[in-house]
Amino acid sequence: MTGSEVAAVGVVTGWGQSAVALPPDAVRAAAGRRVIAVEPPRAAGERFRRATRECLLGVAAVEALLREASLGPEAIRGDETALVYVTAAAYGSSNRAFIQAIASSTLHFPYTAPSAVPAEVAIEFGLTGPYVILIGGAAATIDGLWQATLLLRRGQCRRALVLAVETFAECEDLWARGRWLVRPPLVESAACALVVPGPWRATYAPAPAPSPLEALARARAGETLACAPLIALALARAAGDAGPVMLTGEWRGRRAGLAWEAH
Amino acid sequence: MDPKEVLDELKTILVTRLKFDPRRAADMTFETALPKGVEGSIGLDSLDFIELSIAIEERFGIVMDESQDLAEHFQSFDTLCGFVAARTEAA
Amino acid sequence: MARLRTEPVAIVAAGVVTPLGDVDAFWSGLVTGTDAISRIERFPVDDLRVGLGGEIKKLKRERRGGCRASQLLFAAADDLLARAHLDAAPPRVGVVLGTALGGVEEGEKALAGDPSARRTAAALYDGPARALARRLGCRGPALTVSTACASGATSLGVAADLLRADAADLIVAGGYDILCRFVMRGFDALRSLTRDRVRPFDRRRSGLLLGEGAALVLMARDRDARGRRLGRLLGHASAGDGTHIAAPDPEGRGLASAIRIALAEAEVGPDDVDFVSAHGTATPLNDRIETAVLKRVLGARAGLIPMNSIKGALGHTMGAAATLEAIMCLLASREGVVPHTVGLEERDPECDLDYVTTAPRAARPRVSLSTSLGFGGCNAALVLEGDAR
Repeated sequence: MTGSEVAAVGVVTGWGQSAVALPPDAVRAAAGRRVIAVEPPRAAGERFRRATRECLLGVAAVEALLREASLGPEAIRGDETALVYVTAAAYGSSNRAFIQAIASSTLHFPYTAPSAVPAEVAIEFGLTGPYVILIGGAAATIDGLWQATLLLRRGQCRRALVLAVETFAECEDLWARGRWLVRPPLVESAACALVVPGPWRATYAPAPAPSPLEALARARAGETLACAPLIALALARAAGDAGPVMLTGEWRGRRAGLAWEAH
Repeated sequence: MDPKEVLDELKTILVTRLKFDPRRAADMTFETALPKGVEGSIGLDSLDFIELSIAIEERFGIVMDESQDLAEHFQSFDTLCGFVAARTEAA
Repeated sequence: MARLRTEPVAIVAAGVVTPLGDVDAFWSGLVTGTDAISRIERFPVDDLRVGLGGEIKKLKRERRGGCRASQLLFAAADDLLARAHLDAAPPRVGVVLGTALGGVEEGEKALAGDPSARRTAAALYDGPARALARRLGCRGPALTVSTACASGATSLGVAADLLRADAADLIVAGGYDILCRFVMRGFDALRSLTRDRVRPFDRRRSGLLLGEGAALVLMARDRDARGRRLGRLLGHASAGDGTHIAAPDPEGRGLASAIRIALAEAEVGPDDVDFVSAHGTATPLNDRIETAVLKRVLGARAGLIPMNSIKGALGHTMGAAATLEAIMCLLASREGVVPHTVGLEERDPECDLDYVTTAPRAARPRVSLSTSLGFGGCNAALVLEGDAR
């Protein structure tokens, strides 16, 4: 089988756990707030004493996924699970803390790398399969989802996690300078999709316009950058549509599309 | 400095620099083992030991000679306090 | 797991900017064993324990106050375009770049008092790739990958995927990173930098030095590439360690996995490997683990394969490193010479593979293996073939 399908999606946002927690209208629900921060994930013990907030969110998204899929962590452990991680700017807060010497240097510096989030996820869940990290907003997540389908098609993995994390609180003032880049509310999020072999054929191409799901995710969740396509998937599934969908994502003038069709 | 004072300073470093929970640090004793992989230890790895060394240098005004293997001094709070106390006395 | 055949992808040409210079100067510097490490001058380093690095001293057409990462990319692009043309329609030309640090120096400036929106936006890690795409007039996919120090390998793999899937006809792929206060402070804090020189696989090795650079390759589907090419990318693979945020897996399991999968994708076996470009950062840990992995994966023949690390000459150029090393592999094939490992003088019994030392060696590798490791357990392997024509 050289096709794919989405088995489940886990979502954590500043609005709450899962897609059902999203308000009907994010702008109205924000009531003027520019940033909707996510509740700190449950304290996960000494294992995470050095980890940054965005790392904990990455782990929380995978945990949410496993709950949605009714799977235990052993179902994804090992070298047959690929991990694709996408973010536009979750590294921002750790970079800022290091630049401004807010955080002590030796322990903190490795966490400034975008690779820190997937590293903590890989350590926590024992993931030793293929690894891709893309930087960008929703368009990069479309690229990442497509990469996941390729890895499956080439037989380099049996399943792929596509994970996105975005945080904004520590850099709210910096985001305010880039008003033209993003539309508030900026909603902190983490989302993870499980992509597995299946009957859908994926077509990857530039998209001339937003898909209905892209517009829905924006309306319900707000500005979630790289998390948006995964939130869109979760919304579709929450509405009872777990079938093949058309996903699009835009970032700074490029809109990418991934059209899944029943094969 | 006497070893008990050194221990208290090291516990402060564990909280402020190594991000341990203060309640956890309060329970640590001279006998507490440090390196990961030792039964009952607080699980410090190579990254932690670098941070700890730098913090000790800054707090106690001593210099760690990187060309020497100092691992034996970092086995427990007992050995580490002894090492620090001896170095601060010498300095 | 069933596997689809992998279509070869051509590496048509290369363009670089390095502490040694452009592609020609890079190559001649490697074969003459030039040490391009110097005292860093562009920003203050007096408060740091180590102030040395592979710094690019002068750029042609340098724009003061501009984003340095973008300027390195533009310089590398100029070098590339002097050797090859982007002869495809703009929407069919893509850019895929790897970087460990992205636009972080712009972030330093933004936080140091430049409140402009432009500066703040330039701090996003995909800024320089977008700038390069604009500069080249590419309107195809523009991607940034960031698998730490394996980024320059991952980018070539992702570019190959885009070409095979017909998402583009040409891709300008590669990697870059700059020396800046942020990264020097960071590696200083990790105590990873050597106060000696960089000595990959040497008994006395004591750490790495950083360098800066930008390395670009023009990639096309092999069946579309007309005329002379530098070589081909036969296979790429990545694998995570899942063990530590910064240190490699003690057994090197992720690296071993990446090498095996890349060889399988390339449809070559360990016995077909003629040359290995090692990651060889000269940290006590990396070089020992990497040697052990190469022995394990390449088997009994491992000791007969010439290998090197070029990080002694340039420093560790982070996002640019793996792409520079891939280019070096293909140039070795073309020129019939394998550069030696600058800095290696006293062999370490635990690193007892044939790391070419003292002087370059006459050899014309057909199939090369290039290995990379990055923070967070990112491991990548590339299998390259030199052009026999």
